[in-house]
Amino acid sequence: MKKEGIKELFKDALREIMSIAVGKATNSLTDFLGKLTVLEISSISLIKVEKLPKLVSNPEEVLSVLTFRLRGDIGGYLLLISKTDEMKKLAKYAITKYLGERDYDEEFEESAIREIGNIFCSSFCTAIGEFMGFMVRSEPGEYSVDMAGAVLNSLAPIFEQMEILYAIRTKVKVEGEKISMEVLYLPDRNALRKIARVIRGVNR
Amino acid sequence: MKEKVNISEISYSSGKVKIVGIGEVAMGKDGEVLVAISLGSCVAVVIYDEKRKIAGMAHVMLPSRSKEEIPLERIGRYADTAVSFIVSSLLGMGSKISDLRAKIAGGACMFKFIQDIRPIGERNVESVKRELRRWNIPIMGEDVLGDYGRSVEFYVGDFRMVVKTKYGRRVIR
Repeated sequence: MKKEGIKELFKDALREIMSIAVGKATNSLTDFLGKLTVLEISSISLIKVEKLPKLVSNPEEVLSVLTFRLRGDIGGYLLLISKTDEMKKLAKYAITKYLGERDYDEEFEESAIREIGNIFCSSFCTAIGEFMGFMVRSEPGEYSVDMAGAVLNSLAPIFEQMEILYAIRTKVKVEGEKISMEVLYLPDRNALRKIARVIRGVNR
Repeated sequence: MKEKVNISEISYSSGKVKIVGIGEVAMGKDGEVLVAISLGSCVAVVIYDEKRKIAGMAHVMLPSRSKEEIPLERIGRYADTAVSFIVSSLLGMGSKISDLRAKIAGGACMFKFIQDIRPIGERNVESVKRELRRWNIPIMGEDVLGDYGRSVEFYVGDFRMVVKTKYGRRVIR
């Protein structure tokens, strides 16, 4: 098979892995929020490390971003990006489901948002682990309300040695509501190598 | 001085604006604006010549290069090569070292979880300052470190640096 054909096959496989992992994470989110969440088809872009902030349409827009570092057999970063008012609505669903209608402060709201991220990310890791036979774990996430481009800018030095990045992304939506969350997975070099080996049927 | 205005005086699509992406360097003259958008841990370093009204901006990503030889297109990526490149370019345009001044912004630490090493933003700022000291170029203003993103506009005509953050807009004159 020609090199381009192999590359396309690899991209298809990454898309499939992303769909399975985000699918499982979406199911967990549905259970947690008590609201049906659905996902869109994944897409992959190959980008230069310098272009990382351009993964969001307006890098200067202040958005809510949850960033998780993945460790274990598969590394990289998982980002959940949403408009802040939409992220706050997700937090409200969770708080209302478990504690009923009540007043809460920003700190409480933020911890609910972090919990949403933790549930999503840990399901994502479990799904990849089960599907690929890897051990994947995430560290507690970082929650930023800031220019989304600046968050991505801060990841650029970490990926400096890679030059070209695979940005795998999809969108999760709450059905019937104007709430969506961009899911972006940036696998590190080791993750890409391991996934490629599994696809080729080589030992893990 | 912090103003609660979150808009730019310029349109980024204007011909007078030069957007300096990660790892890039751009030179500008009177009437032009050098812009670095959404800096996180990166640092925008501007070196300018007040007499000749010329300037250069680099969008530095890392404190120093890991290899001695680097391709030309990565010269703006590292503090050491970026500062030298701007200084050489300004000297080539007729500047004298004694006429050069600098302003810097950026170097935030956006993630608390990356604490196994010293934050990259802090190291970027330190390295840029060291390189400027090495060339004897005084820093006339700065907006660095912290835990928030910044966009930076440098007006070559009057040497103003405008720093935009989620908190508002700060002008460094």
